[in-house]
Amino acid sequence: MHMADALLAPTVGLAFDAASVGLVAAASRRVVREPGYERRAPLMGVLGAFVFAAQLVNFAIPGTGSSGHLAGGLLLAVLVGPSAAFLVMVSVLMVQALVFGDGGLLALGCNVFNLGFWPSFVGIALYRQVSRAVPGPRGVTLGAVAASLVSLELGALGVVAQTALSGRLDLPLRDFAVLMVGIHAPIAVVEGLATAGIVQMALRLAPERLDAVPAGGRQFSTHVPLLLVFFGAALFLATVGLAWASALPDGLAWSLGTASAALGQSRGWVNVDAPLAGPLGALLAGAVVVGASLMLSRLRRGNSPTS
Amino acid sequence: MSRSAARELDLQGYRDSAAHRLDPRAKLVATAVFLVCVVSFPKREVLGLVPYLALPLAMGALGRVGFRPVARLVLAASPFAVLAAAANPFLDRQPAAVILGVAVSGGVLSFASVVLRYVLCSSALLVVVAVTTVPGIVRALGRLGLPRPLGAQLMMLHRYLFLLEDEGERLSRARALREPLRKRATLGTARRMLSSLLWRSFERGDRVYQCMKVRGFDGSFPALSPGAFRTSDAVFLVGVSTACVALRTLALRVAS
Amino acid sequence: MSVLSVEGVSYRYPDGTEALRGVSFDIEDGACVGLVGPNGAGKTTLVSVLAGFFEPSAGSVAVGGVRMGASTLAEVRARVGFVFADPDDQLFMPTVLEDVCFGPLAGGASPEEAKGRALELLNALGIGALASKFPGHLSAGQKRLATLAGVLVQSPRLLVLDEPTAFLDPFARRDTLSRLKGLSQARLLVTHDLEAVVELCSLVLLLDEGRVVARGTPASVLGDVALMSAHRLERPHILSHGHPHS
Ligand SMILES: Nc1ncnc2c1ncn2[C@@H]1O[C@H](COP(=O)(O)OP(=O)(O)O)[C@@H](O)[C@H]1O
Ligand SMILES: [Mg+2]
Repeated sequence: MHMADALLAPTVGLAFDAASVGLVAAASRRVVREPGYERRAPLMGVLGAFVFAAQLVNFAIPGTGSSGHLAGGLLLAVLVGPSAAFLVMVSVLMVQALVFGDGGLLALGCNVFNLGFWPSFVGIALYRQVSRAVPGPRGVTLGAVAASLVSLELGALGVVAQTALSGRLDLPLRDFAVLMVGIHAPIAVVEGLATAGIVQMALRLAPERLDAVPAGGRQFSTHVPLLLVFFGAALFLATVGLAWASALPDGLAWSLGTASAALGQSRGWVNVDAPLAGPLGALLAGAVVVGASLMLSRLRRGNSPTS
Repeated sequence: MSRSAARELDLQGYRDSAAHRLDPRAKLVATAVFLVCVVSFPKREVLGLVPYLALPLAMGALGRVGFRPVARLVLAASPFAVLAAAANPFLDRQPAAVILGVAVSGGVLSFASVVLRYVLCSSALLVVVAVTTVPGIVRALGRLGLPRPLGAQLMMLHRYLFLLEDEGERLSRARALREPLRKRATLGTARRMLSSLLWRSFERGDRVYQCMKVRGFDGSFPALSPGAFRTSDAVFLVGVSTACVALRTLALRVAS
Repeated sequence: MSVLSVEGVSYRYPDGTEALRGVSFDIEDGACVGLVGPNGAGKTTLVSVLAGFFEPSAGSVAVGGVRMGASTLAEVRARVGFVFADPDDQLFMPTVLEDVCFGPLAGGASPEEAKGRALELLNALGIGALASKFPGHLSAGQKRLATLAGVLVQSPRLLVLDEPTAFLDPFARRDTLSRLKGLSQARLLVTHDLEAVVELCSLVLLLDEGRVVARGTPASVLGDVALMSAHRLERPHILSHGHPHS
């Protein structure tokens, strides 16, 4: 789901570019100060290339007949930590734009936010919390699925927001948002499961390879109820999304194709405009806001020197 | 496939031509001006965008960039932008212009505009990379202020990109041979394939690190002094930028 | 005087595997020494010890009289050039020229100086035309020469070559061997390519289960059929049929 230059207004594109320049500068400063950067630097480069290689491994998304591949942001964050993972994702997105024509130069800032920022900084915080609160492989799976749901959905909503702000398309905002969130739910679940599987195998074979998580114990427990609500909402979205998913390889292309076809026939949402869309949108917005603020506060605390 | 087209373009960057010899900074900044001008046109603009096609075409001709790999990549990456805009004609049916005596709706115009923007933006960037090389672009970005860790990261990623892609390709082919009846890997198989790919990447990373270490690596990536910015580079930059901005303002006049 | 002196070096992996058990040998200035042994003999481990990646659990390594240790590691590494089996690991920079300049620049040379030395060496090796090429686009033989340039540019006194003829076709192998033969530096050639050892080396060490089990001239060690088969190796044909290239 790469944002393209053609869908952007210059102000929107440049605003996101400017914001990501700031983020990149901060992450770069951090990453060189992290212990072990010297050893990590070549590994980061190779892991960036790994993301491309991993995208050649297509797998079936169960129950939908469609296929997916690893986006990789969350896996990178688990492997090398937030700042390094963010830089790797930025480099991946840049090479996708420069070498493969995916995305664009102006759209780079948008894509850095949609696909790099959320998994590297927000998703990883959620993953760490959950995998710490729930011990063992179950925690890894739960954490990876939750983190991947949150980051992919936030990214999908980012595409919607950037498109709406740019005003190049006539798609109704709310329907577009609901559709995008729905279509990305199964993709996110599968991404989470694949990530969890790889992390578990790495934990078994070479735990020292994984980024050392700052020790923090289980102070997380107070947030468990909130998280359950959030997770329930995400799961609900996932099941609804499953009903929509179909055979096209890329969820975004599919959702837009369906949107175009459906709109063409009826100039409205036959399937979704019905009772579902309103509550679903509200639920989603609520879940995302709660999740994001929770994660950001956790992240800030996790980064403080006390931990 | 688009992957082979990408490799072909990547390879073309290492050739030599007048376009290749231009300073990467000049090409990069000119591209940025071009992109901002193109996307700044109003939603339904079509005619004003057409002249911009001259830039990627001229650059491609000057650098003898193959037309086919660019076209293949532009097509391969297009579904999102094109599908997204494909709804416009159904949603906006108000006649907005009369072309050759036929009334055209606003939706059709905005759809055509997005498609044209898409072709312009992606082909321009691909052509510039094909006459500059990725490391050349990264060096230019470095001199324009790209943080050094990201520059080093991009260089390393590009260095091992096709090497690791080949490993992924081999792995996928090996799976297809062993499960000829299954079109795609199951999630479980994919996990194992990805784990083994990751393992090999880690080992590659270790070996590269050791190779760097024995040659004195201390965490910083040294750089050679880059080429100088020449008059021809300045002429190119100013010329292209002026042309882009002029076409933009000119189109404004026509519209108003 | 000896360039490299390895004395009673042992190494044990964290999992308890004893990969090296009291390995001792010297390399004289300008000499070429072959190190051979079956898979798992400890060759790679020994190279890693020489490169300073592993600290020996017993014994010591000295290069040019300087004993290797945490404080002398940089100094020792500057005197030894390592050529590893996979040139893609070693050629990590975006162009051949930048790759050859990496060592000198990391060692504090000015960009002009590094560039001058690098170009001189590339020309001497006959690959000056490849200076601005992307390493991934080179042939295996060209890659091998480029890695050699990247190492020689640091004027090492000793070269440690780990499987330098792996991945090469016969023509590139021949070319590489003749280049290696012409070098004046001391060389430690670690390889399964026993014919190359016969051709280049004056001394051979046979390593098995972490010990040097035999040492001597190539003819005496590699020509000993019983010894060779006892250590899962094969007597090279070159020794039975005489030198094919003379
Ligand atoms: N990372 C490691 N951990 C534990 N044992 C190892 C490791 N690497 C190698 N070994 C063991 O050390 C011994 C020597 O290995 P190596 O030096 O790779 O031999 P060679 O290069 O001669 O084939 C073998 O028994 C091998 O299994
Ligand atoms: Mg070995």
